[in-house]
Amino acid sequence: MLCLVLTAAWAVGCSGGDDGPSARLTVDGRVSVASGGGSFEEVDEKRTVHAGDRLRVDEGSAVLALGDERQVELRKGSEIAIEEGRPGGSPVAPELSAGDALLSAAADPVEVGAGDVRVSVSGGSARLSRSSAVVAATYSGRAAVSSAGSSLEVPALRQVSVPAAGLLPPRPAPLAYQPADSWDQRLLGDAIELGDQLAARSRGFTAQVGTGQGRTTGFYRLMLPALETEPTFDVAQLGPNRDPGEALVGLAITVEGKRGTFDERVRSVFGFHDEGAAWGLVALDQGVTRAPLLGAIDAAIGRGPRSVAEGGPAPTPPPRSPPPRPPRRSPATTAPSGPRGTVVTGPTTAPAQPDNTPSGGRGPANTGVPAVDNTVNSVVDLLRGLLGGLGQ
Amino acid sequence: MPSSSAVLRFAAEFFTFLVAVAGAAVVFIRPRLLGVHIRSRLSLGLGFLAVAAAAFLHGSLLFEGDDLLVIAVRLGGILLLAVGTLGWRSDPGSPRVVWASLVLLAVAEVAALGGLTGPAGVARALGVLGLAALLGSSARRSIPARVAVSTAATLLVVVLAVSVALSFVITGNVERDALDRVGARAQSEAFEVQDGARTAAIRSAKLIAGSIQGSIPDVAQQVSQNPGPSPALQDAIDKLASADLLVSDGPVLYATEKGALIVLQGIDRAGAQALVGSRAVAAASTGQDVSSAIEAVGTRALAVAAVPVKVGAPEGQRTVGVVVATHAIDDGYLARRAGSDRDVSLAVVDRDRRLAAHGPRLPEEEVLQVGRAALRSSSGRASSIAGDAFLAARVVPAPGSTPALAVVSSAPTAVVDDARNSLFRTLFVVALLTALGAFLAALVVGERIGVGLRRLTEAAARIQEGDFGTRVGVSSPDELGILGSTFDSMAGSIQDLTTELRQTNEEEVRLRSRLEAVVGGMGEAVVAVDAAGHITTFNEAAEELFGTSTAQAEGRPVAAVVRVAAEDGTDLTPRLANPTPGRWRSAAVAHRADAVEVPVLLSAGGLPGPSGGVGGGVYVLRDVRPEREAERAKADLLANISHELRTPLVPIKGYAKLLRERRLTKAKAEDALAAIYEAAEQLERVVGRLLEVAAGDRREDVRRETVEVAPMVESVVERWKEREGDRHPITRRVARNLPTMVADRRLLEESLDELVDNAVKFSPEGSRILISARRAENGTGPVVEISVDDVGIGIDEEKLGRIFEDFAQGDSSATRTFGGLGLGLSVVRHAVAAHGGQLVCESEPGKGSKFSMILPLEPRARRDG
Repeated sequence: MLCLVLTAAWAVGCSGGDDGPSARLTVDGRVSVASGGGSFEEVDEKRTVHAGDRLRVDEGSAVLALGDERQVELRKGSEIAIEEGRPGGSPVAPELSAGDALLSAAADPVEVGAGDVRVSVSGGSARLSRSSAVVAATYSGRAAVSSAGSSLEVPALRQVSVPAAGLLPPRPAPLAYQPADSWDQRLLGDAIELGDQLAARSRGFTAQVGTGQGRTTGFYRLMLPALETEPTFDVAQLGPNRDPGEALVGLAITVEGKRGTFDERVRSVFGFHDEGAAWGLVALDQGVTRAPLLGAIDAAIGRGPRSVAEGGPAPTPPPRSPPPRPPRRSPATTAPSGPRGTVVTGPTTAPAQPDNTPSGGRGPANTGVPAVDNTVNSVVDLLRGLLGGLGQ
Repeated sequence: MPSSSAVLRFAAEFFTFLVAVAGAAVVFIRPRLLGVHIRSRLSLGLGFLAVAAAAFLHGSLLFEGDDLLVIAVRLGGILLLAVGTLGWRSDPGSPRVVWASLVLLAVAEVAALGGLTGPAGVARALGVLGLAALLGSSARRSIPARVAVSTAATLLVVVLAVSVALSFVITGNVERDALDRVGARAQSEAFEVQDGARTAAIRSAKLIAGSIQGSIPDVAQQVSQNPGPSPALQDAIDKLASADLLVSDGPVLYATEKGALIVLQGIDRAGAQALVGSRAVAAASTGQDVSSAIEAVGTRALAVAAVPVKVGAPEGQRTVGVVVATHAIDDGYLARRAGSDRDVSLAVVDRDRRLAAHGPRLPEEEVLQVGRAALRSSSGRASSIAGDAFLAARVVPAPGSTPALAVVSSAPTAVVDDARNSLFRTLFVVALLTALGAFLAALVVGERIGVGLRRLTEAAARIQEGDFGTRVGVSSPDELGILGSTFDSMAGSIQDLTTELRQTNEEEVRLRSRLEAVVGGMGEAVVAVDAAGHITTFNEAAEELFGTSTAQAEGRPVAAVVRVAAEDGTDLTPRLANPTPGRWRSAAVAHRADAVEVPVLLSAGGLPGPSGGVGGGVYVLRDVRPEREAERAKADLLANISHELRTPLVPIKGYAKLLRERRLTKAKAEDALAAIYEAAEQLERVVGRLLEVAAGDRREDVRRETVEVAPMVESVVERWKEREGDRHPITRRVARNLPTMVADRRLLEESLDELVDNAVKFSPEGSRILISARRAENGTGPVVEISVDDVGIGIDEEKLGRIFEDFAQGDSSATRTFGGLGLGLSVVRHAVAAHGGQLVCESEPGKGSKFSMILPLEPRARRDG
C-alpha cells in the first residue's frame, strides 16, 4: 500500500499534476524562475517548473530533470525557457536563451533548442553554448544538430558551431575545451591532463632531437618496437615537417589504439590532431588508456637520442613547420593495410634508412659517439628491414 | 570498528538484551507460560540474566570486541540455561527450541574465541532469534502475555528503529565531521604543495639563474648558440647545491631557450624531456620571469619553477636559457609535513598512480580512487571511508589549467571511535531504559487486562461446573467491563434457563416415567415405530404377546419382530412397517414366536413428524382371549342356567299338569306335590345361588357369630354321609382344641357343602372324601384351615387359575357331565373373601384335588380370594 501511495505520489510529481507538462528543477546556488510571463523570482533547492516558465542561473548551477535519465544542467549565466515538448519526447522542451547548458541522456534523447538551432543528445552528454554563435560540443555519446532544414551528426569529442541559421559546417571540428572550465574538467579532465602530459613530452622530445633526426621509419621503429610488426608503416604517413615529438606521440597513440587497422589509425590519429584536437582528445578518441600510453612514450624517449646533457648530439631545432595539414594519402607510398603477418601486395615503400639510432631499446649499445652510432644504426636498420621482409 | 558494524552490534546486543530480560521475566513471573518446572526456574532465570548482562556489557561498548570477560559471562549464561533446560519436561516442544538456540549460542562463543567474528555474529543472532521465537510462542497461552509481547515487540521495533536511525545519524555526523577534518588537512596540504613547494622551487630557480647570469653569462650565451655539454654551467649549479643554498631538493635542469637540455640532475631522460616541454618551461623560454607549476613527471610529483637566464643590457636582454628547479613532493616531503602526527596519512596521487605517501599504509587502490574522484570532480574534492580509514582528497590548484595532482589525507576511523562509542553508550542505555519502561508498561497493561480476563475465565469455569450463580463483577468502562456485564447478564439468563430447563426436564421425566409405567403396565401390547418402521417402544405386554424381549425388539424393523394378520388372513405387518397418518382398527391375529396365534384387537395411529409428515406409528394390540373365554363361559352359564332351571320345572310342570287333570290318587298326588316342592326348592336353591353369585364380594350380610368348627364340620359330614351313603365314604379329621371362630356359620356350612359337592361330583364312586380342619398361622395371625380332599379327576394346571371365576368349571363340558351351574367355587370364594380369608386349591390331574378355606378367627377386611 505504501509503495502504491509513493508510486502515485511520484507519478503525480513527475507529471506535474494539473499544471501541464513539467520538469523537476534542483538548484545548487541561486536560480530565478519566471512563471507565465511574470518577473523572475528566486527559488529554493527544488521545485517543479512547467511549460511557460523561464529560468536564469544567477549563481552556482541547476539541474533540470526531464525524466527517463534525461537532464539539462545549467550554470551561472545560463538562461532557458521551458516550452512544451513534442509528442513522444520529453514532456517539456527547454530553449536555451543564453549561456551554456549541459545535456545528458541515456537511451532516450534530450532535445534543447537555441534560437534556430536544435540539439538532440543521446547516450552521453554534450555542451550547448549560445553567444554570438551556437556551439554544440559532444563529450560522449552522439549529438544531432539541426538548423533551418540542415542537420549534422556530432560524434563524441567533436563540436559544431552555427553562427547563423542554417549555416552548418560540412563536418564537425574537434572539441575545443577550456582546461579551467568546470564541465570540461569534469567530463574531459583525464583527457585534458593527458593532453598536457603528451604535449610536454612532445615538446621536450622535439627539443632534444638533432638536426635531421626523426625523419625515417627506422627511427620510430626503434623507438616504438611495436611498429616493427606494422609493415605498412611509412614515415611519409606522418606528413611533411611534422615535429619528431608530435610524430612520436601520434605513433604511440596509434600503436596503443585498437580501433581499425594500423593505417586507419594513423590517418585517424594524425588527421584528428591536425584538425586541432589536443593529444588527450586524440587518445580518448582512439580508446587509448592513459597509463600505458605514457609508459610507452616514456620508454620510447628512453630509447631515443641522448640529450646534450647526456652527451648526445647537439640538437638543431627543425625549422618552424607550417601549420599542420591533413596528410594526403599517396597510393604510391602507402600500401593498403592488411592483417598483421600477411604479405602486403602492391607498391610499398622500402624501409627508410634511419638517419640516426636512438640509444637504448633494441639497438646496439650506444657508443656515445654520434658518427659511429649513426653508421652502426643505419646498418642495423637496413639489416633489420631486410630480415623483416624475408622473415615475414 | 566500522560504523556499520557498530550499528549492527548495537542493534544485535540491544535485541539480545531485551530478549534475555523478557526470558528472565517470564521464567520468574510467569513460569507456567513456558511450562518450566520450579526446579528449572532458578537456572533458567540466572542464565537469561547472564546473557542479558553480557549483551549490556558488549552493546554499551563497555567492552570492545569479543572480550574474554563478555564471552565468559555469555558462556556462563548458556551453561545455566542448559542446566535449567535439563529439568524442563513440561512442554515437549520448548526444550528442543532452547537446546537448538543454546547450541547456536555456544557455537557463536567458540567461533568468537577463534576470532571468527562474522560466523559468531550470525550464530548468535540465530540463537537469540530462537529464544525470542520461544518466548513469543509461549505468549500464545495467555492473552495478557500476548498483549504484553505484542506491545513490547512493537515498542521494541520502534525503539530499535529509532535507535538505529539515531545511530546512523550520529555515526554519519561523527564521520562527516571526521571527513571534514581530514579533508581540511588535505586541503591545507594541497595549498602547501601549490604554494610552499612551488615557492621553494622558485627560490632555487631564481638563485641558480641569478648565479649564472651574474657569473657565467657568456657561457650561457655560448651554449644557447651552440648547444653542447657545459661543465661551467654544471659546476655553477653544483656549487650552489653543495653550499646548501638551494631550498628545493628536486631535480635541476638547465636548458637552452630552445629546450635543449644542457644540465640534467636527478631525473631520467624521459622525465627531463617532459619537464623541459612543460608549459612552465615554455613560458620561461619566451622570457617570462618566473613560471611555475605542479607537475607529475613519470612517477614523481614535482613543484616546478622555471626562470629564464637573460644576457645583455637590461634594456635589450635576451633569453639564452632556462633554469628549471623542482621541489620533490615525495615521501620525505610528506613525512616532514606530517611531522609527529602518527595518525595522519598523506599521499599525493595523479590520475594513474600514487606518487608519494607517508603514514600508515593504506590500500593504494582506495587512495587512488578517492584521488581520481577529486581530480574528476568540479569541486576538486572527494572523500570516502575505506576499511578503517577516513579518506579525503583535494586537488592541488592549477590556475588556468586542469589539476594534475591531488593530495589525499587519511586518518584512522579509530580517532572517532571514542566519541562515537560514548554516544552509542548513551544511546544504548537510553534505548534500553526506554524499551524496559515500555516493556513494564506493556506488562502492567497486560496484567490489567489479564485480571479481568482471569476473572472471566474463572467464572466461566465455575459456570461450567454448574455454579450458575457465579458473577464476574468486572466494572470498568472499557470493553472488558462491557464484556463482564454481558457475561453476568448471560450467566443470569443461563441460570434462569437452566432452572426452567431443569423443571421442564423433571416434569418430562415424571411424565415419561408415568407414561412408561402406563405403557409398561398396560395390559395391551404397545408397539411404537419410527418413520422407517423401526421399533422404538415395546412394552411388557408386547413382550408377552409376541414372545420377544424389549431389548431384542427395540431398534429392529417391526416386520422382523411382529407378525400380525387380519382375521381374513391379510398380512398387516407391512402396514405396521409403513405408518400412515390417521387411525385404524382391525381384529387380527398375532403370531407369536412360538407359533401360537393370539387373537387381538389392533388399534393403530400415526405420529406426527417434526416437519409435519409422519414421524412414526403406535400400535396397541389387545389380547382378546379373556373376552372370548368370558363369552364362552357366559354361553355355558346360560346353557347351564337353562338346564338347571328347566330341570326342576319339568317335574313341577308334569306333576302340576297331572294334579290339574285330577287323574292322580291322593297318595300319588302327595308324592307329586312333594316332588313339586322338592323341584321348587331346587329351583329356589338355583336362584339363590345365582343371587349369591350376583351379590359376590359386595355382600354385607355376613353375620358375626361364634362358630365352633368341629360341630360345624360334623354336621356337614353327617349330612353328606346320609345323602351319599356308600357312594362316597366321607371322613373327617378335625384338630383338637380348635379355637372358636367369629363367622357366618350358614355361609361357612354352605361353602363347605359346595366343596364337598364338588368333590362328590368330580370323584368316582367309592372314592374317599376327607374333610379336615386345623389351626394354622399365616402372615397375619392364627387362622383355621378347613379342607376338602378328594381323589377325583383333578384340574389341569392351566385351568387351575380360572376355576374360582364366576360360571367357571375346570372344563365347561364338566358342567354337563357333572351337573351344576359351575358357580359353586365362585360362591365359596365370595364367602371366604367375605370373611377376609383365602380359598386355596391344590390339584393334580388324575389324582385329586384339595380345596382349603383359610379363615381368620374373626372376619377381617374383605380381601380378594
